[in-house]
Amino acid sequence: MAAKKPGKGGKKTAKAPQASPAADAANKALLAVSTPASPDDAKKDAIFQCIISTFDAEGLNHIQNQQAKIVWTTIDDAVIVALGDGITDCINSKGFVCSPLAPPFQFLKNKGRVTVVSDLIDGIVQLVTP
Amino acid sequence: MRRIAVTSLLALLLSAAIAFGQEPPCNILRAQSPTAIGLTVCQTLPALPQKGDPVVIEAGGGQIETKVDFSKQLTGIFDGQTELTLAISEPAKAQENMLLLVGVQTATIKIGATSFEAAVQQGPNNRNTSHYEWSIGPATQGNKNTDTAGTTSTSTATVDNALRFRYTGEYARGGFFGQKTNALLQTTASLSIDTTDQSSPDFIDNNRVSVGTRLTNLSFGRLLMHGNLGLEARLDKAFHQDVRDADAVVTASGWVPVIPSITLFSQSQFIAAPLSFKASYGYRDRSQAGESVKGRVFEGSALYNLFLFDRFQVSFSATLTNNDLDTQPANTPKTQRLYKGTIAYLENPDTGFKVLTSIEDGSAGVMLRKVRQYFLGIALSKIDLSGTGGK
Repeated sequence: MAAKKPGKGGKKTAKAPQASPAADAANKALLAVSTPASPDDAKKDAIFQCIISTFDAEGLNHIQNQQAKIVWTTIDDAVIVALGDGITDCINSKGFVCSPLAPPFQFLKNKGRVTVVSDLIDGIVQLVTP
Repeated sequence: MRRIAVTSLLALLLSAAIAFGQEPPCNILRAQSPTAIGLTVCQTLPALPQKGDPVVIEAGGGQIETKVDFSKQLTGIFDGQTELTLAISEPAKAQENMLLLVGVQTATIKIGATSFEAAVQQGPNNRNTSHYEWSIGPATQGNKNTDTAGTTSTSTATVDNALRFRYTGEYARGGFFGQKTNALLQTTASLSIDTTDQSSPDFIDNNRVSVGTRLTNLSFGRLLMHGNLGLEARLDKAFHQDVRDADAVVTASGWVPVIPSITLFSQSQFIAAPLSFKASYGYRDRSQAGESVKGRVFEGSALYNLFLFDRFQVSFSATLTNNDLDTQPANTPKTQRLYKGTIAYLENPDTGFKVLTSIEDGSAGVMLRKVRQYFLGIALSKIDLSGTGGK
């Protein structure tokens, strides 16, 4: 009795699912534009949460997203200091070390600037270690 | 003669305001903890100070010796700034050193051979503050409104344009006239001038000097934040009319966060102060055309910000005054309303909103005639004769 050729008449092995060419192209495109998570991401997230909670606590609008713009000139100096101190303390409480933020916030007000929250986060990141 | 005197007074006030209106140092120093000081430097330093470099701060008649603990040349929104965190060199002297920074407005910083001034930023609970704001520009009369509030009189106005001068300044110190120090108590003195070079009563002419004491930083959840409650004595005088009010009143002011500023027809949200208000109620003694009348007075004003089309800031303010003065002249209003709308445009976020124009309609205080007046702020920003300051 001749031996069966391997694979013939035996159980069919399950094939690995193969992506369609279109899905493959989409995945490659996504990979091309995405960046791996960096340590700054956690820092930026912590800063954003601190900005939201401190602005809420001082009676300003609830910040809905990072595209919101802060109009510093409408805010009293004492509140500017409270915002700077509150965000500094909040960031420190999350395990980072943040330089005092009240002076640079006062600088932004004195210059009459309008600041996008995402730009503010990028600015604060420079003052936060590690 | 009277016109010359008023014009001379305005010129004097303008020159004083220009002298007083110098920008405070853009370098800012702040005691952050018992042993750490934050310093924001906005001028170019010869070299970035390194960790351990000595920095001497001269303030309050003494010296604070510190060392650089953190330094960075910033980019992005803080472009051009150098941020330093300074640690007190001798921790045993930290408390004594930090007291040198209490209540002072400026300090001299010495880093190596470089020396510069820095404004000393006080804490949010600091009660020693001063600030001022002034502007000058053309004012245009909207119409020759001949109505006083409630009665009619003949207008004598013959001019449509005027040079308007505005100044508000407040000097505040913690405690009760410097006698008692309390975490909440503050004594204030303020001066407010809003007048023109024209003697016509159809232009705004509201000028006030006041002294008072108040409890500060009161809060009732989101109904009221950063609130004040106090007592105030004030004197109002019109430069161009024979009217003077002397008031003794209870005052209240604050933010109302349940009514936040609003953004409409815009792709992104604007974050700004919510509705704010000031109110007072008390006794008034009015002297008008040689007669003196007395009674009670209520005055309330509110300010609200609205943002439109990503570029426009519209600020509304309304002031309501109601008095029950007895036996006052027939053309003196019992209730006065003054509405103001200001439109500002955001051309560049780095320079912020610039006032395009403001419109005021109504009357308030010692203004007995309703006015409608346009103030062209664009000229104000171009000739750069406006200023703010304080700390």
